[in-house]
Amino acid sequence: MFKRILAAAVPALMLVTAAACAEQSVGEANPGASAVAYPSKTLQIMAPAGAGGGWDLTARSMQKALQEANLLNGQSAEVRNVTGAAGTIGLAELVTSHAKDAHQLMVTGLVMVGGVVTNKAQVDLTKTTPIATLTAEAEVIVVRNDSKYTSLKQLVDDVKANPTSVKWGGGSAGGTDQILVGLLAKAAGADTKTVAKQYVAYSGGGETKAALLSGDVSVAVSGVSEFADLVKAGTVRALAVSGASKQDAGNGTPAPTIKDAGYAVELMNWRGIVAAPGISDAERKAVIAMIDKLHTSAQWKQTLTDKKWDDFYKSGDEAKAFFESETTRIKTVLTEIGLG
Amino acid sequence: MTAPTPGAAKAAPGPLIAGVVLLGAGVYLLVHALSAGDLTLGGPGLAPVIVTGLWVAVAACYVVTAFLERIAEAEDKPRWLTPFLLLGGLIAYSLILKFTVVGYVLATVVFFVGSARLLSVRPWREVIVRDVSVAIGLSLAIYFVFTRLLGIALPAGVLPL
Amino acid sequence: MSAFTDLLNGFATVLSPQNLLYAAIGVTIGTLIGVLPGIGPALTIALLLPVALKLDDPTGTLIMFAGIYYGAMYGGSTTSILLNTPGESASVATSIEGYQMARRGRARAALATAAIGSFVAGTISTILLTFAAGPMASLAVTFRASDYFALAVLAMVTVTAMVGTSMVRGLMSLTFGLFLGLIGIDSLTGQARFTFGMPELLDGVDIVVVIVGLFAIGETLYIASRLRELPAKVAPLEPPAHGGFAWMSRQDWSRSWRPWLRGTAIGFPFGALPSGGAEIPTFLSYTYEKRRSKHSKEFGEGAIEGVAGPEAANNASFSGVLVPLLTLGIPTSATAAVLLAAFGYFDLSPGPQLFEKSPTLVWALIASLFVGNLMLLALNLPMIRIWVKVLQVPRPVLYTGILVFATLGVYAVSGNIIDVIIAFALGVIAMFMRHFNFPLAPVILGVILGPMMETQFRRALLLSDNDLSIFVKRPLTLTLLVLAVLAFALPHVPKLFRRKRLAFGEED
Repeated sequence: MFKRILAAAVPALMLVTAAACAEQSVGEANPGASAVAYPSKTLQIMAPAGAGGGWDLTARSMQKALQEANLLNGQSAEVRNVTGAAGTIGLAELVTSHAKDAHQLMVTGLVMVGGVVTNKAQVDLTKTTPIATLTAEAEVIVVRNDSKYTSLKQLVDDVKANPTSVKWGGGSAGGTDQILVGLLAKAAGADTKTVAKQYVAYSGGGETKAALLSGDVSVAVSGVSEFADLVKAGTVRALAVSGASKQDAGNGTPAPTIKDAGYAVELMNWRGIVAAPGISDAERKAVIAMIDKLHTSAQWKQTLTDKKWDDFYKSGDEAKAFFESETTRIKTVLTEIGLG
Repeated sequence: MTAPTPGAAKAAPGPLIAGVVLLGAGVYLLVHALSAGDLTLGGPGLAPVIVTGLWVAVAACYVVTAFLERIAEAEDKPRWLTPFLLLGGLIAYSLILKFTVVGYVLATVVFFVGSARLLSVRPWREVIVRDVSVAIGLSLAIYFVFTRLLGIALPAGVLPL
Repeated sequence: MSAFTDLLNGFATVLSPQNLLYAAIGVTIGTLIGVLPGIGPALTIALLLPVALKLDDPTGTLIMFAGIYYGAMYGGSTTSILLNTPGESASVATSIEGYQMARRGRARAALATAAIGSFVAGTISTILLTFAAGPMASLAVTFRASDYFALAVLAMVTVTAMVGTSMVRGLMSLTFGLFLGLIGIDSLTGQARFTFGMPELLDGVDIVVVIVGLFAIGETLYIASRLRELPAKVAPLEPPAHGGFAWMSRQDWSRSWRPWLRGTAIGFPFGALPSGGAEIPTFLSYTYEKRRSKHSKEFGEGAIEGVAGPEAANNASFSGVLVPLLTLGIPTSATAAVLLAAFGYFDLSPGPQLFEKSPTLVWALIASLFVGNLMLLALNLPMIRIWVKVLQVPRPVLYTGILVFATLGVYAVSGNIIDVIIAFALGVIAMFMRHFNFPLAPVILGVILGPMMETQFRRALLLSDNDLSIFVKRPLTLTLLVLAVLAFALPHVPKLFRRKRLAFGEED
């Protein structure tokens, strides 16, 4: 018991000093938000997936950085996992059971936007209170080093001529990887539906790698980090990355983007944070202010470096607009490839 | 073991009832699988039909054997009340954990004492001290190991933990 | 013999006091979480990652994580044997004979053969990992979808012996498992199957939920239905055997060592296959021992071979898992995936370059496997004395404890009340299955092999543009399928001849 008291007392003492400064700076930067002292109780951060996955790591990293950067107004933060159906179980819980509770946050991401569509979930991301996007990872399109394709254009030309000749491998059906294949086929003017049918879903990066190496699939799509080591070893060749700018896919030289190859596709596998619906405007501003401060904190910057996450920050109205545009875009492409 | 009731092995209706339930469930699932459409080779609808079809066939065999051979029912006489009371306790326990503010430790202590009582054949006066102390010790240990060491959140609830 | 010198260097690194301490912490944590149902090594390592990052000692951390992985397997066998409550799918095969041994007072010998078998398998397979990782890995990634399908068919045909004494009841259990495996989103098309409109079922029924429900909760409910007939003690405990060594009699030793070696031979290659897994080799080993044993009549009543083989296979598959992980960066189990993430945090990418870039770390990790195995043996043999005390705990307290841990394992991990309810429902089903003598192990077999067969079959078809000849065109696929046909037919061939002879009126 003594240890408990001690454990609670030390941060509290530290925060007595920190809180005063923090409140001042809020007052200066954002006069509307200072009306709400936030958080005023334990902050709940939901990771809508199992422990150890990307969303869970994001949630736990946020919890840690928020605590270490003293952004919790003397309160603590708790991470809880609600698993299931690409995060849509957690999403439904946030919207139905925790509405109007400003202390309920949830990690989200592109995968959830897709999951809402493929699982025909009742509740979508626009029902929540958007707060911010935090990180993102580009996708990479790779072939084996003995493949005849040396550029994305050659590959896409073949796909356009004969859609069934190229078999794609990647993560789960309707996930980021298949979405990218659909967007690419659409942008290139290929038969989107047939191309998407040539996509073979694997249960994770490991299985996808094995399928590419064994020759089951001719092209693999995955996050850049997943294939970095094989690209570096020269076992596989990166044809393109899906971000806005060229990016090193592992071998030290920047790989071209899909746009460089002439197809107007840009797709980032982003992660972000939303709050429960129905919270007041002042509360919303307070949450955004807290995440804004988290984003600029040294602790969060360190987290990004440690985890090799790319910064992808949009907050407030910008995040709201982004969530909406992604929801529309993903819904369209998934419907087109027959997964809507 | 208690002595088997005379004639129990012959007339046992248990396996027959179980077989009919299985067969009913199988038929229901088969109909459900057939209604999903797309039974093409390589499509998602084929495996459910194969599996539920197999279910119906095997369940039918079981019903027939149960009827013809009168599969001997287990000799001991089970009491079904205790496991279902226990099940009720379990469901109540997990619902309380998820939807109320009672908290992990308190809910676990209450469940533990109740469940130990159900599973015990000794008078409660002899075991209540043991049960309550084990319950408190175990639930506190789990609570602190999970929330403090592993970082898995368990509801703290009404106790000032 | 450069691998040999590298390994010696690895030992030099590991045998520092600090790294030994990491190994010791790892195996201890691993053993403890292995004992708890539902809380596996993958989850533990994931949760310990942030702590490990702070230590900033990649070698030490990875040594500790490998220890957790190994330790969890040692610990996992303990509850399967003592209480018939396996915590993960790879311990189910062990529980079949192990629990029967415990019920007959032979818990010590069962635990000992599991621990020593794990040690033997772990050591041999680590030697294989040391010297054959490269070739093994390049062989493993030549397996294609059609090969995996054929392999799954072969495994399915081979392990039908698992269905037990009654064909009908065994098949019913298997079918139930196949059905459970179908629930959820179809992995290839994203179409929902048997979800009955419940979004919580979209991800399917997790294997941990199935195991906790069928075994831990099912066992408890079954016990509850028969309280009054049960003896006061959970299980008797015979005095340790005389004339033996380490809790096992001379006969136990002579019946155990071959299954250990055979289990290793089955487990290691399966672990190395990117879609192999640890469950199938344990079931294959069990089946093989049951068929081959001179004591096959004892199977079902506590045959020690049925514990020795599967446990060895389980442990050997772990070193197998490390083959593609270290050489190609391909994780083949949930735990391996988390280990891969751990590598990533330390700026290490497993794969072709790891051996060149960080030889110290890799060889220290491999050396730590030898050390960890030895530590686990040293930890677990004396622990047998303590573990068997579990059987002396009063039944109400023991089984209530199992329920508390089972609920915790399912609920705390998923936060999903539907998972908990499913586990309870499976517990009720398991209680009735036990009552009507339906075997439980085939259910797990169905849950694991069914989806593998279906997915790989459909992948192969998709990749060949619906051309069924894919299954006879590849020599490997064809060989495996022919073997499956033989495995199916061979046991019946003698019967055919016998019948024919009888038909001609000859006495048999």
